[in-house]
Amino acid sequence: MRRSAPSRAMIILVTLVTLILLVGSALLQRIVFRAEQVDASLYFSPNVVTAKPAQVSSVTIGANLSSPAHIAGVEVVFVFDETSLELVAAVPSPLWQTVALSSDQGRVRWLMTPLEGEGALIETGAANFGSLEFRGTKEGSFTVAFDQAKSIIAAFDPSHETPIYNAAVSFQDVVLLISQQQAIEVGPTEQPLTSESLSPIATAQKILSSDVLTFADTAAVLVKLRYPDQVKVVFGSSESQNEVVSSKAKTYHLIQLSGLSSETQYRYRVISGGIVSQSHLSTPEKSFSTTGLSQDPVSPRRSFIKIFPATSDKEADIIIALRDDQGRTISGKRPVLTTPSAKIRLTPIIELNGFYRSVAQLSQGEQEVTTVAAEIDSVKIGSQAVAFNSQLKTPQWPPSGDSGFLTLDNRLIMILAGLLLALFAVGLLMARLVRDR
Amino acid sequence: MRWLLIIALSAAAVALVLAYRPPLQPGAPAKKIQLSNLPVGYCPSRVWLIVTDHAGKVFFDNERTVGNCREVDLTDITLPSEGLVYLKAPLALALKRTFTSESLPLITALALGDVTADNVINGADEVLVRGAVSGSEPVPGTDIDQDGQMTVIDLAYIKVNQRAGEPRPDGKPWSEAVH
Repeated sequence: MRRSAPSRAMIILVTLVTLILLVGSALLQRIVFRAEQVDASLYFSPNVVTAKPAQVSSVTIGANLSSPAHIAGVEVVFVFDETSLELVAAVPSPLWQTVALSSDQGRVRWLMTPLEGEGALIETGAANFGSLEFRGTKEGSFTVAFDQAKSIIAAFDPSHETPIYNAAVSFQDVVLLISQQQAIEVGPTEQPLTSESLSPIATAQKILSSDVLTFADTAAVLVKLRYPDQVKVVFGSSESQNEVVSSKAKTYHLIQLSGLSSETQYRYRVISGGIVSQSHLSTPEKSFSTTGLSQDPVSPRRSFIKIFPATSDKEADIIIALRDDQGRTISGKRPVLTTPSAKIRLTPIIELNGFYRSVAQLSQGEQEVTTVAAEIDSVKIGSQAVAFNSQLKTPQWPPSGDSGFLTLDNRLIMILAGLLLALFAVGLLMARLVRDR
Repeated sequence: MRWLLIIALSAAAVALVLAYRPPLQPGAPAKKIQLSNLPVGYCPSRVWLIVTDHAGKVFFDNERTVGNCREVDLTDITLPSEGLVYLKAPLALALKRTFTSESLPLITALALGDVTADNVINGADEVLVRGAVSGSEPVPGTDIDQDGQMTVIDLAYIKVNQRAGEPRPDGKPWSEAVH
């Protein structure tokens, strides 16, 4: 009997270890290999270039990625003053090819895909898509600015756990200083400032995105945070500086900047802080230009609708921009919003000098995926999908059981507790066996 | 010793069951196919569905409506205890999945990009989408993610999903009724 007991115990031990390995492997598949979306910062490098008139300056377009990612394509849309700058060439990097390149009144759309395969694996976290060559035609300071609503880095998960998504969440423009007095100084490639480098605080909070929609005397800054907090937008032209503070701590903020002058360039920064951390987090300084005001016919091509956020628990802001062919804001119209869903309520549109705003609310049920379309005089100017899910949970600070990339739910905790208990029992059993021998 | 073994085995068994149990979805019917990995704007109204057993006996071969843009309800279909599901959605490659009565709801991803509706994503689809994103008059179906705009993301679906879909079990072409 004493000889058979250890062998029986050994069988039980092996069985237990096998069970633990099986469960561990299942957990690893569910946790560690869960798809994570990558955030990218699209930038021009260097971000300031000085050159003499008529001389060509080169600017590269690149991206910093929060982690290695597969990129299936890039669509870069940028604007510049074509009366002051001339785009001489757009050259893709060696591993990339141009699919489409079009230019219309200082607005350039450049679409690129990897030369081979389904997508390029950017392992280093930094990608170089191509370079642009500009020639200044007159002296002054001129910004080449990304159209943040239209620029896309198409990233995908090779295991196809997520749909293809736009990884571009932040942007850095370039300023070309054209002067007869200064020598050409195409400086060393500067990495764009990140929120961490500007505010060296050890915090889990992040400004995930900050986009701006511009109108004639208004701009809407759309900010997405990782955790709910208040947001302040500091903005100004060369003459003055102002700030607007959000009233509530939320993850999504629509900050309206009013009282701006038309066709004027403003610089702005988004600052969050106060709740998640005592320190403040700031984006790099960026710029936007307000549009002109127009009473010309609406151009469906240049007008658009924006719903923010596109996924929400119960309500989302809707912004409609009516533009003419020149991209100028049109006020005094009566756009109409429609949705095929009976579960969605759309509030009446309120207008402030061409800034048309409404709210979509989930009025029935728990969840709904639908589209909201905008039209003017029976002409459709755009539509956007919106998803509501009343069960959607906003990440809270401090995160419960969130170690940065894992989210432990109760079920997972029970599994881990069971595993630990099993491991503990195996340990005791082994100790007992050793002692018996 | 005995109590220790009982505790250890019980804990391991509970952990194993919890780990492999499909996530609970309160209130949702279990007999359904849940479409996943889809862009938010993609909202098919119908799919073509075929259900067979492993011997090839056909239990269902027709169109089904899609609820909430993502759910194919199977509650009114007599299903074998185990078998195969074939599903062809608009703009997507047809797929084949095995199922048992315990494995429902079946959660499955779709590969989008079949603009030409021939159940293959290849150069022919790419030419159409390339043309549309380059400014040509868009051909219906080239807006793969259905967001109302032709962008590089539409082209990315073609690049990433280039392959053939599952053929119908009877070898016939998939009905174009789903397009």
